[in-house]
Formats: sequence, C-alpha cells, structure tokens
Amino acid sequence: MKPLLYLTSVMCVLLGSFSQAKSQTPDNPVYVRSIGIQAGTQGVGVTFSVPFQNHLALRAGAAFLPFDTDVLKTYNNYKTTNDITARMSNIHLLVDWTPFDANDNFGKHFAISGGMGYFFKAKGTFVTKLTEPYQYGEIEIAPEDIGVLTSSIDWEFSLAPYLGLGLQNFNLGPKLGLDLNLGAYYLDKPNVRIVGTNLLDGNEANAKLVEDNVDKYRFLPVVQLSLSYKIK
Amino acid sequence: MKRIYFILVGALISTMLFSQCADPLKGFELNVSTDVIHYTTLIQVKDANGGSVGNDITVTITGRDAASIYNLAGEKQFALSSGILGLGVTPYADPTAGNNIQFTVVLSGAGYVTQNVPVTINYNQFESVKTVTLLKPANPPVDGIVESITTTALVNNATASPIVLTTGSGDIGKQSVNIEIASGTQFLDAAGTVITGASLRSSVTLFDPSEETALAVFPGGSLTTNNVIPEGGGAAETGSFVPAGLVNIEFSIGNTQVKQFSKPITIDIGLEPTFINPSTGASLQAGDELGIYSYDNATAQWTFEKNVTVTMVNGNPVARFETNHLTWYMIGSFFKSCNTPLVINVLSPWMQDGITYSLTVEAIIAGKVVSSTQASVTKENPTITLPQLPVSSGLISIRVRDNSGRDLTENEGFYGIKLVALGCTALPFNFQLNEPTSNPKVTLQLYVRCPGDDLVLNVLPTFYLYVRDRENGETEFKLLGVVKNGFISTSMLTAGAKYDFKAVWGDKVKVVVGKTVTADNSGTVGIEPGDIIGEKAGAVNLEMLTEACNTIK
Repeated sequence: MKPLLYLTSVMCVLLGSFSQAKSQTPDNPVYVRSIGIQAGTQGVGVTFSVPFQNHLALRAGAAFLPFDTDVLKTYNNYKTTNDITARMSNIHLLVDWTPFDANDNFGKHFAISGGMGYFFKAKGTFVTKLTEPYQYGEIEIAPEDIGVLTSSIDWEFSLAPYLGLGLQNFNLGPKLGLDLNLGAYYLDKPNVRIVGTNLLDGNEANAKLVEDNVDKYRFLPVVQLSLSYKIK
Repeated sequence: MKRIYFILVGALISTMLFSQCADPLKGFELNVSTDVIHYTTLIQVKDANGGSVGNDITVTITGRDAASIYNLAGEKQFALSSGILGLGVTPYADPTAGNNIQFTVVLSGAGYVTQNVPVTINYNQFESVKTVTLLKPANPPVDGIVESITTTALVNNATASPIVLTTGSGDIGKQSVNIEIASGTQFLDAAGTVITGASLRSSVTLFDPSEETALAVFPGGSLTTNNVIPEGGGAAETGSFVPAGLVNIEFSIGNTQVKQFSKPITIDIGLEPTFINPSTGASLQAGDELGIYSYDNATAQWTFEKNVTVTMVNGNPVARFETNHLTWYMIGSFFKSCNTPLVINVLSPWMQDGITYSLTVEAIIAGKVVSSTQASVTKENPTITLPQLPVSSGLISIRVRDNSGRDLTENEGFYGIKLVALGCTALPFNFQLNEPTSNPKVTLQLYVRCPGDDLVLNVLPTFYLYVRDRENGETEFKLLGVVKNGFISTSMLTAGAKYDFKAVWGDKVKVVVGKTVTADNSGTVGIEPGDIIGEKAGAVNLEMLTEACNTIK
C-alpha cells in the first residue's frame, strides 16, 4: 500500500498548490483549469487539470473499466463459449507538455504526457465452458456437467508509469473543451491462474503457456476522450 | 527536428499499443478428462481349474440398475478382455448414501455352468475388484467337486422301477448324494408337460463346502448375495449363506431339461462333517435344524424351501428331504445383511505417506469366507467399503491379507478380527493391521504425449494396475493398485527385480512382460525420441494412443 499512499500524497500536495494558480497563464493558451469526464480503453472516469508552467499542466484522475463480453472459440476440437470479464481501476497523476502551444495553428494542441498510475485492480478473467455435449462412448455428458475452466490474469496493486501523446483542449464552447489522449501504461508482470472443475480439472498446466503468452502484456493501451469544463 | 521527435514518440506509442494484440490463449490445449465414470468395478473371471476362460464368454447385464451400467469405455458392449470385465456406472446414476447400485452379470459359455453374479456398488466404493470362477463340469477341479452322469432307460416315458442315483462314493471325503426316484415317475418340463423319451440323463454335481475351490463356483460367485427370498417369503433380501452342503442336479430327456416330477423324489445329501453350526457354535449334531434353499438360474434368485432336521448316518451328518423340482440346493444357514455396507478403517502405524497398499479383505462366518474384496488403500485413504453383510449377527470376523497372501490379522486367530456385535452401523470399524511384507518404496510415473504434441498430457485417466512376479513362480496377476493421474507408489515391488504388468484402462487391457523396476520409474508413452510406444505391438499401441488422444482432445 505504500506506493498508493505516496501517489495520493503527491497528488494532494500538487493539486492543492496548483489549484491556487491562475486559471490560464498568458503563455499557455492551451491549458486552463478544468474538471471533466473521460471515456476510453481504460474505462470511464473523472479528470482534473491544472496549468502550472509555460507549456505544462498537471492532470489527475481516476478511471474504472467494467468490461464483459462473450466469445465463441474452438480449442482443439471443442467449441467453447468464453465469458470474458475485465476489471481495471486506477488513479493517475500526469504531466502534459505542449511544446508547440505558441503556434497559432493546429499544432498548438499537440501534447506529450508522462506520469504514473496506481492500479488497485487490474484483472482479466476468462470463464470457458463447452457449448456442446461431451461424448464418452455412449454416455453423453451435458455441457453444464462438464465443468468450467477459469483463467485469470492479474496485475493487481501495481504502480505503472505512463507515456503518451495528446490533442488537448479543442474548444467546444466558452466553457467546454475536448481532449484526445493516446498512450500506454507499463504494467508489472501479470500472474496467471487456471482452475478447472469436473472434467476440465487438470488443465492447470496451461497456466505456464498463458503466462508466456501474456509476458509481453506489459503495455496497457490508452485511447481516451475527455470532455472538460473550464473553472476559475 | 521537432517533427522527427514526434515521429519517434508516435512510433513508440504505436508499438506499445499494438504489441498487445496477441491472443493470450494462443496454443491453449483444452483437455477434457476421460475420468467420466466415477464408480468402477473389475470382474476377474477364471476357470475353476485356475486356468483362463478365454474371451468366448458371453456377458449380459441384467437387474434393477442394468440400464446405468456401461463398460469402462462408456459403451454398452460387454466382453471379457484377458479374463477381465470392466464395468462402470454412468455418472448420472452414481450411488448415494441411501441408494446403492445393484445389477447382475450373467456369464455363460460353451461347456460352462452359467454364473449369475450379483454386484452391488455402494456410495464411496469408487473402485472394487471381484473374482468369479466358472465351472466346466466336464473338467472340474480335483479338490471339492465331483460330478456323476448316469443314463437310465425309461418305459412309456416313466421309470420302470425304483432308481437310486449316487454321487460321491468316497471321492470327496464321506459326503455323497443319493437320489431316490419312485417307480412310475414321469418327468415334466417347465410348463408341466410330460417329456417323452426312452432314456433319462442325470447329472449330479456335489460340492464340498470345506474346499475353497468348490465354494468358488457357488452360484453368484459369492456366499453373499442380494437376491434371496427368505423363510416366510416377501421381498428379496441381501444376506450371506453358510453352507453345510451344496449340490446341483440336472436331468434331461433328449434335449429337454427336466424341471418337475409327477411324484416327489427324495434326496439325501451328506453334509460337511466338520461344519460348525452358526446357531449352536458347535459341530453338527443329530437334531440340528438347517435351511434348504434352491436357486433359479434364470432369475439368479435363491428361495427358502423348507427346514430340514440333520440325521446321523454311519456317524456322518445327512440332510434328507423330498422335492418335486430340480435345481441347485444349498443346505445351511442364511443371515440377513444390514442395509448399510460395512466400512473398515485399516489405518496402521506402519503405513507411509503416499504409498498404495493392495489388500484382500475376507468376511468370515463360521469358518466360511462369505465375502472377499480386493482393495487399494493409502495412509491418506485407509477405508475399505465391503458389501452389505450381516454385521448385527455378531458372527463376522474380518481377515486381511496382503498381495503375497500373508495374513495381517493373524494375531487375532486364523479367522481374523471378530467384529463386535454393535448392530447395523454406517460407522467404520477401526483395525490395526500387522505390517505386510514390504520393500523400500518404488514409484511408477506414467506420462502420455499425444502424437504431434510437444507437451505431455495434463489429464490422465485412472486405471487398474496388476503385477505378476513370474521369476518367483507366480502365474496369476495380482492387483498392485489403482493408478491415479499416472502415478502409483508402492512397497510391494523390489527394485532391481523383473515383473510382468497388466494395465486395465477403459475397455483396454495391456500387458508388459519382464520389466525391471528401479526405485523411481517414469516413462512417457508417445512417439517422440525417448518415448515408449512398445517394441512388440508398436503399431497397435500407436493406434490405441491416437484413438485415446482423440477422445481427450
């Protein structure tokens, strides 16, 4: 829990300080103090942005991803349905840098972002079930009696650095702005666990294979739109 | 410069984003276990002379739960393979605490007396092994069985004078059978119609109940059976017989079996002289009363006929009675079983972690083995479920042997440990056994690699493993244990010695001859370099492996 406390403390101090700053610096036409909502690959959430230097702004937020879907897939010769559940929750603190904000053209919106996120939940679960009966000789085993195989990939409680690009603060009106961010978090190595029941018991050895497959799953992609409201 | 910087950062982020597109389950091998059947039983069938019966024995499954019984490959085809019949219960009909599985295995073959073997599978009795002996009357074993075949001329389809048929005459000690048929007796078929013919063929087979070889062919294969109409009638009961005499009488005229007579016939059966009457606890005496039970081959049912008073003829006990039909007759005692199976716990101080011990457990009443069960136990699971037995009679002793035949209860006397008459109980009886003849631990680990795969299978089915120490003169395979997930650890093998192994898996029986074991033995069945596929029947084994892999994957 130490990283979480550290990150929270830093966010509080910085945001407390910069919230006293002017809402818009003369040298930084892009950044304004704003609050907003966001949606994208890391889920939905809230964001709070404060300019603090020429070309720089501090952005804090929280995101939550509730994702459920079913996928039909065939393993060996078995047709399966896979209930996929992803749950990701993070708080993050980023610094946005707009190196071309002095330009009076589209380029002034470009930003480079860096920072950290703390994932207090980051887990993907696949619950695999056969969709057709299993035939053992003349004995037919109904799909619900074959059992389920639960594969989980877990990055829980990890601190992750972030790097990204963005297009910041397109004016949608006197108070409203739109941001687009594209980047990735670098996550810890995930843990893989596979548990089978009934006739699917014994598939646990696949955990090593899945672990190898997801070994490169260190970058969590972020494609995110934010709608911000300017505040004084 | 600024543009290049942007391109580099953009490329880095694109790489980060799109490197995530690989399927996390790529290459995932989903295996479905073939351990579909939870409750299995093996029936080993052998000839009364100790030899093999071959595979030309017809197997039929009948009885209350026959529909729930499959072979171990999940099919409804039943046949012996190397003298072994593997049966299992569909997982949709697993026995429960209050509902066991009952069925009858009918074994018939040319020249053999048909055996109707009642089988009961109880809750938590996941594996069991039963031995059944088939009798070929033309070739009976030397000890304990004697058959006499006589042909008698008939006049007008009836006996012309009184006839006395005698079997025994000292061949089996002092026991014998005399059958008296009155003059003018006609012979009837099952429908009660007089059979016409010029001669009567009679076959009388007498069994000496003091000989194990004779009791091995007791109808049903065991003195404990689940289909007995007791004295007083009513529904069929489960219970145990304690026989003092046993005879099978068959008459025929031409090709028609005689089932009844126009006049009653009189039978004198010489009883076992050393028989201990369970009712008195003493040797048979004149005036003792025993029950007569007859057996119907078609229904595999024993029925109480009447009681008979024992008389002494020349100092030997004899049961004399009249009857009007022919079949098997058992003279002795019957004890009704408890409704719950008998459970014993043999956890003993010498048991070591993880080692499988193969044991034979015999239930004995009045010196007769009424039930014999082969079991595979470990320190972690030391309980053995026996059939439903007349525990409340207070007459049962339990004798336990290791797979070399050594009595592990010999401290308690020849007939093992006497069960305290607690009445019927589902609670286990706890025994401490003597340490069996054991060697340092030997482990056997089998892996299986399907053709075309790099990895070994994650899921292996449970199978029965037998062993034979041929170098020390053993001719029969003995149960070594039940192999789970390809692994068994035992103290019954000697590292450095050669053994023959027989594995029974599904409907397959595989024998490996002359393998020297070491302390740790492991092998992978497969076709990759270093794998084992067999030297003598490699093609057949590969076919079996491929077929098996197709059912798993």
